[in-house]
Amino acid sequence: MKYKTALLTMVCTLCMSATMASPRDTARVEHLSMWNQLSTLLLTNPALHSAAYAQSYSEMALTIDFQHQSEAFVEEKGKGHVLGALAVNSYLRMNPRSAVWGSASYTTGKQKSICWNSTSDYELLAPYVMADTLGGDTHRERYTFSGGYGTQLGRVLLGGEMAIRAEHEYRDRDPRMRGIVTELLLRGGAGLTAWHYRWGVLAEGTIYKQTNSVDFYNELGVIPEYHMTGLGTEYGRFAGEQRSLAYRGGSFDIAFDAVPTGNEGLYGHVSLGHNAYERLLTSANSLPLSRLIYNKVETTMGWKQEGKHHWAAYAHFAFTKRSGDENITGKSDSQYYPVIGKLTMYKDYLMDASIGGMYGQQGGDRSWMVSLKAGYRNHRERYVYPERLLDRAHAYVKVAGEWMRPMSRRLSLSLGADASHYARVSDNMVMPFANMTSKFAEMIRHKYRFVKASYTEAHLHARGDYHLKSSSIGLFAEVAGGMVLCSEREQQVGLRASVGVTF
Amino acid sequence: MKRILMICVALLGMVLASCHQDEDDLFTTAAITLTAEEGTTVERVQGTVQLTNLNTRQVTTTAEFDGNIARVSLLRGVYSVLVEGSMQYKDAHGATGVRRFRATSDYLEFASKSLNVATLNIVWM
Repeated sequence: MKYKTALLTMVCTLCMSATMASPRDTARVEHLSMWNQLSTLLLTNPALHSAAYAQSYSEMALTIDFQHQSEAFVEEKGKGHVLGALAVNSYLRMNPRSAVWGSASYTTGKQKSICWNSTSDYELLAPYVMADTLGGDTHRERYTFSGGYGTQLGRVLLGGEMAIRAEHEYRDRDPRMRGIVTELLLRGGAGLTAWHYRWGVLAEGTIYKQTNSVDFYNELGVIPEYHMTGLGTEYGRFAGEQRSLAYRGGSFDIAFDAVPTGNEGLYGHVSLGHNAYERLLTSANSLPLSRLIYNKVETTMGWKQEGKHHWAAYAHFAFTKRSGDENITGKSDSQYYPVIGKLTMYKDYLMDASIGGMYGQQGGDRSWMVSLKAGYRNHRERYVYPERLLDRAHAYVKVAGEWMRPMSRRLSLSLGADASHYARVSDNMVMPFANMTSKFAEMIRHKYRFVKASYTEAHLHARGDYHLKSSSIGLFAEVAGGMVLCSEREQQVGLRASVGVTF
Repeated sequence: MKRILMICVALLGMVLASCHQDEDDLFTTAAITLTAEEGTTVERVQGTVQLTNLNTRQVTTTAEFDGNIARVSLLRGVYSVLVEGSMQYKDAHGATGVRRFRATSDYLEFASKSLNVATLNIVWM
């Protein structure tokens, strides 16, 4: 009998403690719940970000991230990485009207088996990178800092944010590439509360710089470095010995947002953006070789309702056009090369359209959500003359779920899983293989093999939070794993483990 | 409110104004005239013109001559040119002859969108 009473007391205590909402758990759920994914685009506006959360939440984490691909899906990005990171993120509500937020991180590690790319930030600058056929592992270091402030003055919201990224990537064996990146981002946002909505406008600008070079210490082992111009073409005039580059550029974006102030209503986001990055050959008196220009438009429109049950439905559309100008370089005069014209030779169109929905319950210190998203993505790359074309389209579907709940007064648990499938709908390639050298042809065949493939992905994550007694500090540990199966009989595995403190 | 709207319109204008204009006039026509020494008139040419784009290394060839002029449509750019073949000519004394020749230039600009004209002096082989 005594045993039964003790057991009943324990169960009751556990249940009661589980129902007592801890402020730390409430803040964590508010900041990390999957429901926030609906607002990701809108919260880039610092004016709206300042009103997004009711509670302060800060987190410092030490993370190890491992990724391995059996064969590189994108040769220029390598076969995987091992990265360690220390990151702090903080959001502090100063008073009901104002909030300040910031982050800092340091990441270091190794990128594995990169080939056909000796430049940092490949995704941003492709195809205008320096490349060689050898490649290898690179070491990476990245520092990021950001800070923002937002406040409400009557019906008007104002906010500003600044972020800095500095990155250093290098290889300590031939070919010894080195890329040093600095990027400064400035955002200014304004908002107005009217007609049961917060209307926001955002202006954002970035300044980007990279110095990039390749050295060879072994005089007998020098191989040519190519200045790539897209789909297996290169700027042959300066290939080989000219191995010092600089990239200069930046972006300017504006966005308009609408968020309901109440618990339900339509929400929307429209953004327009323009980026330009110039590639300069510093070893030839800063000769501008090429220029990559982005024009982007992105819009999301949806309905969300927050109550006993949360649900949302939305449609999203994004279109990016990238144009690449190659400069016609004249005859040099004392190492000064005049630019006598330009040709838009590279054109890249990326379109993504999707619809999705989310349903779940969120309140206090607990939440569960499920989401479904289906979409269509088309990516068409073209080199105008001699004609080269790489076109592919995929239909995709993604399901995700998340469960966050306190297990006791001290311990909380979060579990999440998602699965997605990207099915090839169509693909097409036009390539003058007869006029290409074997290495370039091999590289394009590899690229085509993976861009037209279908992919199936699954990810799992689990996180436990433990609150220290009589303290506002908590400890957490998180593990996440994922797998990507490629229809070309290759796969990727990823593992991530984090430990940290919340405060 | 009006002020905010004006700011929005101004920002939109800035982005739209910064939109990039693609340069799609990629091709041009080059007219290469072959000349011999003074007093020699070139009557007919049979040969090959090989133009190598210095920036892309792409090679364009033509064998079509109109008298001593070769016309070729090609990508705008800078080229090295090699012309080789046989030429029928009339010398200063009015005598007609046929001889092999070669003409080269390591740099010619064919970057203009309109007609590009270049003259090459030949060397008898």
